[in-house]
Amino acid sequence: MSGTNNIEDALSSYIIGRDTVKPNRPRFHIDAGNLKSAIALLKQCLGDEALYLSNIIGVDKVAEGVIELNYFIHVVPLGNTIVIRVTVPRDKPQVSSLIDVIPGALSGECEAYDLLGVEFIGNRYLRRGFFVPVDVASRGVFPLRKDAKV
Amino acid sequence: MSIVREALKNLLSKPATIEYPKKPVPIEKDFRGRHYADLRKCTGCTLCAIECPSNCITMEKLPENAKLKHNPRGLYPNIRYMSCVFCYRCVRVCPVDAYVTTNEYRLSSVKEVFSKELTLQTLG
Amino acid sequence: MCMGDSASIIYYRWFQRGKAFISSIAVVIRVLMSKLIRYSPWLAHFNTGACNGCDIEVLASITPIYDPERYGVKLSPSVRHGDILIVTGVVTKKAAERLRRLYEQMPGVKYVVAVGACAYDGGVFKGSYSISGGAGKVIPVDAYVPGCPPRPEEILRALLILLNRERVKESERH
Repeated sequence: MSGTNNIEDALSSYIIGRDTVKPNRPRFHIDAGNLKSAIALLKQCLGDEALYLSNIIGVDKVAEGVIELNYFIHVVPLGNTIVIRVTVPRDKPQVSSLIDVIPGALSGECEAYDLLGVEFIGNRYLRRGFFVPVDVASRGVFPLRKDAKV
Repeated sequence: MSIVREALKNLLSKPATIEYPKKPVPIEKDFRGRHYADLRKCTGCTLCAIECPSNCITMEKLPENAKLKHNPRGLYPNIRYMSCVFCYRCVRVCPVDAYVTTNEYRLSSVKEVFSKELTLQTLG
Repeated sequence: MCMGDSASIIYYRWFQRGKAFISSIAVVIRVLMSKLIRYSPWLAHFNTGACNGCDIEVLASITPIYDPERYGVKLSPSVRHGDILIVTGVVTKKAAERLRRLYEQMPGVKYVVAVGACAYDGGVFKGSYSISGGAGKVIPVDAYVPGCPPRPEEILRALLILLNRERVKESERH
């Protein structure tokens, strides 16, 4: 946990909330507008090859009217995974894209767009029929939303 | 020189092939194979059909001449083996332990295979 | 009728005889192939969106422990050289059009074997929005191997039953 204290201090100006998913996996809540600068700062502190973005998981919460995006980042020199959570409003889900900071975010962002409808500004490879079959995509349905009728 | 020794050893030993259809493959006794319902115990509660994750159990009505006291609804399960994943949830959830389990896995065929014949044979 | 017309009629008649000769040779070759395919069928394998469980078992059945080469069966490098198409996986909508194209690219006498519960009608994924429900909806299937995943020796036995090289008892021949 000492290694992640380092990260917490580095990002302390951006973090709005903090909790733990399970032992040894902290989760930091960050504002949607600050995401790109926070990740750039992390990359600057830890080095160019220290971050591995393994997954972008989106959760649709209808009752609160938000969509949560969880970025699972594995920090290689510490051998630890941290989670960064960003919340976007459900009727206008837009976040800045990470592909110029971490190019490996391409597949996660395309999947989150195709299945949940979250737009990533700055990613010009977003396309509707990428993962979802064409007849579902042409109806404008996002299959992983809770109120989707497929 | 040890490679020559290895080569000679492999040349003179028996091949490791199991000649399958002619000789049986060793298999454990509790391998999850072909299972079917025993009508002397089944009560027709349809819990197995509700539990099956791939929806392959259909409930059928008993033939006309069989009136069983412990089966008031007169239903019994018919398993479609082609779609079954052999998870054995139906065997575990049955409240009266009415499933007969075997380790028979040789079910590949040209037509579809059901459990109806084996189940009706248990009647008697 | 001038000279040129009668010459072209003679050439046309020889042309028709040549075509008939070649097509009768083609019929003879096809009949011979359907008898000889029993003795050395080559497999082409296609995964239409599976979890890879059935793929691992198909590849395990090609290894020397179960030795399919004693029956002349081997994995072919491409679909154009294959005789039997082995389909694994739940057939997703995007893979279904490719499967149809692959089946039409296979030449001559061909068979299809659907391995696993998913390739029969979708298995545990029945009713999902992105699958088209089993290989039988897209191409004509000749044999099924149930199981999740089936054992590798069972996949080999399905090929032998298909080619009539395995003596099954009448009560077991479903």
